[in-house]
Amino acid sequence: MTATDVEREGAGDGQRADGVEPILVVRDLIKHFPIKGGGLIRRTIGQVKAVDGVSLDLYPGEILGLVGESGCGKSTTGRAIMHLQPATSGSVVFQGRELTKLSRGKMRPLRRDIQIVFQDPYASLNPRLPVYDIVAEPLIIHKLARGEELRTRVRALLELVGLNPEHANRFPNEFSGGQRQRIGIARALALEPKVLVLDEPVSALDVSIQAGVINLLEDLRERLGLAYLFIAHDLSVVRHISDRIAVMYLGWIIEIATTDELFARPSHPYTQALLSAIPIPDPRRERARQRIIITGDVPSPANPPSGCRFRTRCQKFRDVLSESQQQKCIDEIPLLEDRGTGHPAACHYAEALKIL
Amino acid sequence: MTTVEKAADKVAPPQTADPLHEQVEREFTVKARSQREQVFRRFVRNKQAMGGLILFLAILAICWIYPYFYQFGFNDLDATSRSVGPGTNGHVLGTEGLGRDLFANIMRGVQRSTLIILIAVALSLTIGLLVGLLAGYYGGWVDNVLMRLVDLILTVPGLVVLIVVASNFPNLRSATGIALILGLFGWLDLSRILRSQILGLREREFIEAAHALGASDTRIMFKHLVPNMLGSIIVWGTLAAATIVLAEATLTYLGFGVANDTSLGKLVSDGVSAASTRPWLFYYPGLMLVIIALCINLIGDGIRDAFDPSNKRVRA
Amino acid sequence: MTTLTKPSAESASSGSGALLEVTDLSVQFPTEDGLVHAVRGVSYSLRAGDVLGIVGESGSGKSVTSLAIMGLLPASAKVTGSVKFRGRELLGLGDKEFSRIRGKGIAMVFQDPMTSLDPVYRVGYQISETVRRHDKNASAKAARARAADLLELVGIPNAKDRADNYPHEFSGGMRQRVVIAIAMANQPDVIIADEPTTALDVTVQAQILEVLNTAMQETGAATVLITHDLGVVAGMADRVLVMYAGRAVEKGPVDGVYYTPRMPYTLGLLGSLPRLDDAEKTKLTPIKGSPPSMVNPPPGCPFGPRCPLHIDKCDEREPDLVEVEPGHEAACIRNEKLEGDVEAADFFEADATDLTLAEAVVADALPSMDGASAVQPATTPDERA
Repeated sequence: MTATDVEREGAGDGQRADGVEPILVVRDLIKHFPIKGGGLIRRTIGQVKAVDGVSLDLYPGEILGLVGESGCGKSTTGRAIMHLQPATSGSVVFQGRELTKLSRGKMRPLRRDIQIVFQDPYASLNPRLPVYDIVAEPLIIHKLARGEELRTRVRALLELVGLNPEHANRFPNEFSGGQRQRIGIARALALEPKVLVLDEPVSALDVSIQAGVINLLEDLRERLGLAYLFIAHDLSVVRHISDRIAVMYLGWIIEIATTDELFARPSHPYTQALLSAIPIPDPRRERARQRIIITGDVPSPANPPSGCRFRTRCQKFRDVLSESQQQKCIDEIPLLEDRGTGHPAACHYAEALKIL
Repeated sequence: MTTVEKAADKVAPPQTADPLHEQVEREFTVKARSQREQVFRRFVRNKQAMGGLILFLAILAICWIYPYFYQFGFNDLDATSRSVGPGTNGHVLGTEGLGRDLFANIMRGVQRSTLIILIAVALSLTIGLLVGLLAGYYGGWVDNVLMRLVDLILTVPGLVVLIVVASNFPNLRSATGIALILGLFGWLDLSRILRSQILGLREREFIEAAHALGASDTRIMFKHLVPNMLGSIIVWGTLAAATIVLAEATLTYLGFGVANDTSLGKLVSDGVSAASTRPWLFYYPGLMLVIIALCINLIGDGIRDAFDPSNKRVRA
Repeated sequence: MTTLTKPSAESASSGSGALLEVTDLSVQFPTEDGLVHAVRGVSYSLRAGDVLGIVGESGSGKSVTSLAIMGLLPASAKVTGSVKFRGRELLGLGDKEFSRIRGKGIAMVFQDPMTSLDPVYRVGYQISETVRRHDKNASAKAARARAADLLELVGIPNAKDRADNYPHEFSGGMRQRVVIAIAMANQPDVIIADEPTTALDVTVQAQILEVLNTAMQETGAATVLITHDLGVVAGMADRVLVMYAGRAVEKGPVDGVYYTPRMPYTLGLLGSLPRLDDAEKTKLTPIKGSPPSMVNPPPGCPFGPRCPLHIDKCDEREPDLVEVEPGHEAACIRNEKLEGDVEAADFFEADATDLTLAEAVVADALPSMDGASAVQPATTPDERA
């Protein structure tokens, strides 16, 4: 039983009415990790339901933010879409081709069009290769350039991300975190992809450096017409860069809307709590804020609650709903659909509130 | 021009170096040294390691150029000086029963031994690397089969294996032949070391990144995994060298090693019976053996320490 | 509430004395590359009930400062200056003396709960143990009861039963609550919280900050909150101290520093933050380049190479903190340029390259290079926070 069933009508979630086809279509993506028991023959005793039915569309040139806290499955979603982890079930259609069943060989040429930037600038670059080799590698693998032409292209890539090409013969540990992240971006762009999956690209950087990389990503989108799947936990960053945002909780997308819609009219209690919890660097506003405090911690993805997964922490469930209404939350999985708030939200009692 | 190049042109025009900025660079930054430099520096500062290295290189040098300044060859029979002690008649370390000069023979022995080391290590390295890579990278049944094979061979004491093989192939009793045997059985621990390293490395993000780029398995193994295991490989190499030298000596002493040529092991083995009456025939070769093994061990330790110093990083 | 013998110290607000007085604190570490000056002359004072936020990025020295105050640095560290707690000098105290003050006078809450929690003892035991260590007259029963009370206070459901759990049986957020309970156990005068919520999800962070607030109110302790998150400080602190390259570069009331920063670094930092409440998508203004090396720092202002207001005079000597408004100090010789209603975008460029201003300045000085900007120098790798 899956939870998402995205409605097409209404422009609330940003789905295009102008006939432009999405470049990436994900439907009912599921990724479960088996939990093996101990003993001589390790049997599977349970499943970690990291991603449990995710559907989304990504249009050319748009930035779709995928936010959630730890354990929500956003990183796993990104990797499953990239076919770095085989999906348990579901469909990922990229430029008209189904990715989930492809062999490695068949997937290889498609990798030219969809690339990924990783979170950790210290771990995502091979410490033993000079930067030139790191950025040149994709071009070498796909036999796109050699010799002089290769050199020219690597130089151009380094300049594109705001680095000095003279430093191409240095090793990653001679660069700062922000610079390394730029190297990772240069590598991802080498094949001139149409879609970039960014997995927490600025989370490991200092705040003042984050801004530079964010600006770079925006610039690149303008110049190169890329589409991004921007995975992050920091809503402030996501707000700044995204056109549309999908909020994830415990393996589901629980709300999806255009950025403005999401912040003006958050409809799912989790989104509301999330928005109210994020501190703003503005002392007067902070002091005046009303916080929605949700209780407890995220349940284990191996054993998610029945019905609505958020009900164990939900402030609405706790404070507002009657017993019969609560029963509905316990028994029925809320589908991701528009319940009159203007965009899809996975809550039986979705209600738009003004939080910010 | 590709889209990327067109875009890049708009971003930053070509840049050139100049003296003014060099000053800025010097004043406000400390360049992080590349890892190679750091490792090199640490090794050079290690007195024992450097001592071992210098001594080893000196011995190696002498063993190949000694014929140019020493009058006796290793096979020359000097009828006038049979079994003479060190310093007699120009024989620096004395001679043995047939008048063969000991110093020349020791040098020849070092030559043979180093040859054996080279061949055996190269062979072991190749096999160990392949087995370790396949087992660690692919995992699953490949890993199981290979590692059980390794375990199986390891259950039998190494020396016994070597003796059995050597006795069954009598035509292998030359330096190269022994090297072959030692190489064919000397890779077991390397494969394990590399396999476990790969199990860790393979989860690292830069490997995931290589997959995302579409890199083939071979490329990932040789361009990404191996360079990150160089430390272990080098250390293993030096320690294996020491082990092989001693293994050869043991084999020969037991009668299964080099037969038709000289080697350090042979010299020691031949000299054992004369240990009390003509001690130089036993102790000098033995000493050389010990020195060589010691040097190699010191170098190996030094390399290992250079790759992995204790961590004193500051966290602000 | 069970009664234990009250701490016999005199009330903190008696007299004009500050509870915690840090003067010119400096810390140096020996490393392979030389002596690292992690902290170079930090001063502040705390009165009862004060909440001081210390903000800075990685490499600023903010955590080392608090570790030095608590005597938790490795033996190789050289600490100079003065740290007076209730008039008593802490630096140079032996570990035994320090242990008496730690946990009772000054309590610490770290980023990683497992730094403070022992995995092999039940949490109730750990709380009651710290109570009994500082109050010799407390009976085991009273201490246990206090432990349960504290766990309830910090919002752990079924506190009495859960006092018998081990730390690994709690989730991250719950563990941090336990750590705060331990910190509160002996009614400390000062609580030092070092990145207490950095490792937590934002919804859990909100919970923990509430708990911290509760702790502060219950104990009346003065609090030092160290973090890189400017939003957290905005909500929790009365005063803020901004650190850069081992020194305080701006100090003052939180409103003053946030709305009218007078040090370009602070301005740049605030301008580089994407705002959750910002419907307008204004361009962010990053601060280009990296913090300077802390081995042999050059003379002059350490922020110089990255500062849009940089002039030659800035490289002569490091600027002292000067008062720009009552109670508000900034370490910049050109701070008056930031007076009035200025925005980061007025000074910092909103572009995407990583060339620091120094190179751009150099490039301008060489007219023969047509439109060529100078080469970017190598910059030191960031220390990870």
